[in-house]
Amino acid sequence: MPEPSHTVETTTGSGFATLPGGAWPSPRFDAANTGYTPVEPPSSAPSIRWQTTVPTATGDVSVRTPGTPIVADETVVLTTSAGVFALSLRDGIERWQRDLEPTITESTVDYGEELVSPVAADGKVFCPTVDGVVALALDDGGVVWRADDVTGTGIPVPADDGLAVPTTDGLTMLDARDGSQRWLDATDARLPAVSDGTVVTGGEHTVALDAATGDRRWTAPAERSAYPVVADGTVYLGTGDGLIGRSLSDGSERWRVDRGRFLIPPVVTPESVYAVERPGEAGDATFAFDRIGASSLEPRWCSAVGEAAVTGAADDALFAVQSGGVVEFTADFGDAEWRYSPGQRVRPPAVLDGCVVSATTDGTVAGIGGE
Amino acid sequence: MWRPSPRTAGTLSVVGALCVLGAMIPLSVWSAPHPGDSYVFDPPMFSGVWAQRVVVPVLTFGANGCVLAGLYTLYWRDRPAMPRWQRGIAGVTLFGTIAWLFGTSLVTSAGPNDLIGGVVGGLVAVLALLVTVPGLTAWGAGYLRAGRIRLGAALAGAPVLTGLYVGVSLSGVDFDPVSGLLLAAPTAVMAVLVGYDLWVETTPSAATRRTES
Repeated sequence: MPEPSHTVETTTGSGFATLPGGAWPSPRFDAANTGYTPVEPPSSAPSIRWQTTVPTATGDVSVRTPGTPIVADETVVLTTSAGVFALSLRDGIERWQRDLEPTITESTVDYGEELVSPVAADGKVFCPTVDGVVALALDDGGVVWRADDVTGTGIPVPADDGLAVPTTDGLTMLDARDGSQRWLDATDARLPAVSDGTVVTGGEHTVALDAATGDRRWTAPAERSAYPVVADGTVYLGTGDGLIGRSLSDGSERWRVDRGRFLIPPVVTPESVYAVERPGEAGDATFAFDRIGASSLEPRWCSAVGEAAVTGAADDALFAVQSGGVVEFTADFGDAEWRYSPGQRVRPPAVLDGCVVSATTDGTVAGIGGE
Repeated sequence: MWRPSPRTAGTLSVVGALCVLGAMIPLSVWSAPHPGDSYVFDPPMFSGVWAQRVVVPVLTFGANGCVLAGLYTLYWRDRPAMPRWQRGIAGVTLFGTIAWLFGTSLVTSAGPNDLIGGVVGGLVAVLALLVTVPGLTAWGAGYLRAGRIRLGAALAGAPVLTGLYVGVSLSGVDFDPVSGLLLAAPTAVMAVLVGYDLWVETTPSAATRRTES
């Protein structure tokens, strides 16, 4: 198991003197679900700059795991069983909250279920709720529009001026400006990926749809995956039969890493692919692969991480969520730099320039910054 | 049975001393990456991970082989003049040294998934140490009794000083990053002194004369 050279202390500061740059507007950073942001995260001896606890429902709720926090326009947004909450990125002070009931979806990083994460685009926050998909103004939480006729089942993805939403009837494309429905396809999806005018879904079959019309472009053979990642014309799929790369244009298989089960979708950067192998008979192992063109992957390093998932990467660093916290690894050779262990299960962090925003399952949200 | 000449064996023993020390140079002096939290598949040449996988095993194997050559030649050179008990102990010590060479070779050549090779090699090495450490001490004591101070101090002093260092380390004193060098230093000094003695006392008669005196 990696032993980070630094553990984030539990003492809390008074906020960020200089506001961190960058944004993390969706659980996987971008519409293609790459999980990669080109910023410099806190790399040496980071500390908690602020910490706050957002309410969770006290009654009988089936799922309490909050959604993954997102950050846009200097605002942290996350969903809990008590609603949607927006916090100041500078000091964690609550800006607004909406008493909504987010829908429940399959976990994006683990077994089980979690509350659906919001996504942000063009000054709005989109959140599927049990009463339909809701668009809120990012600055004050006011309702911009509500699509009552669709029931979201997964995390929506912005696509230009549209919003791809997994629903009980399949995948639908809403107009992000007013919530009107553009098209509907009866395909299973949890977190679709959008890239180059194509919407790709995971599930039992990987399906590619025209983002503008909803027409099916191709359907891959059965290979169950949680959700796809798209980068540079390749669809990356984590499956029980290995890590698979398919052509975005026609769905043909480009390569396959069949050394084990890769049930959690990988994080893809311009040079590397990070994925967790889950052998079953042993603990999870994080793998860093070099991207060799579009044709293959070469393993660079691996690290035993216990039960974990790689959820994000930045310049020269990647982040793995373990059962007891978050660990930052160096990208080149996998040295564990620091660990944040709040004592609760941690949601995938939002990665910004010099800052990481982390939330735990009990609603504790922390802004972590470097020296 | 073929044996290297004393001067050849003496040279090998000094080379072995250098290999012993070289294998224990802190890996942090090499370039990144250093052995750490992850397994690096294709480490860059001259990096710490590369040194650990390529340089250290070669030096360890070479050191063991060269030191063994020195002790083996020393045994055959002085065998005629040794009392029966010392001859017996020296023979057993050589056997233990060969077992140590075999055990450490198994450990260093075992891959990350070769659990059996690593465990067997480790067990053989530990058993060999149980023979070699008291054997060297007794072998050296025999030389001290015969007035061969240099050889006696070398053979008896190496395990005693090594044991002393291990004891101090276990008491909590941290010698990082030179702990490996300090651990290997007594063995290296022993190998140099044995090599010197083999170089200057090339004939059995010369060695015997001193032993008998």
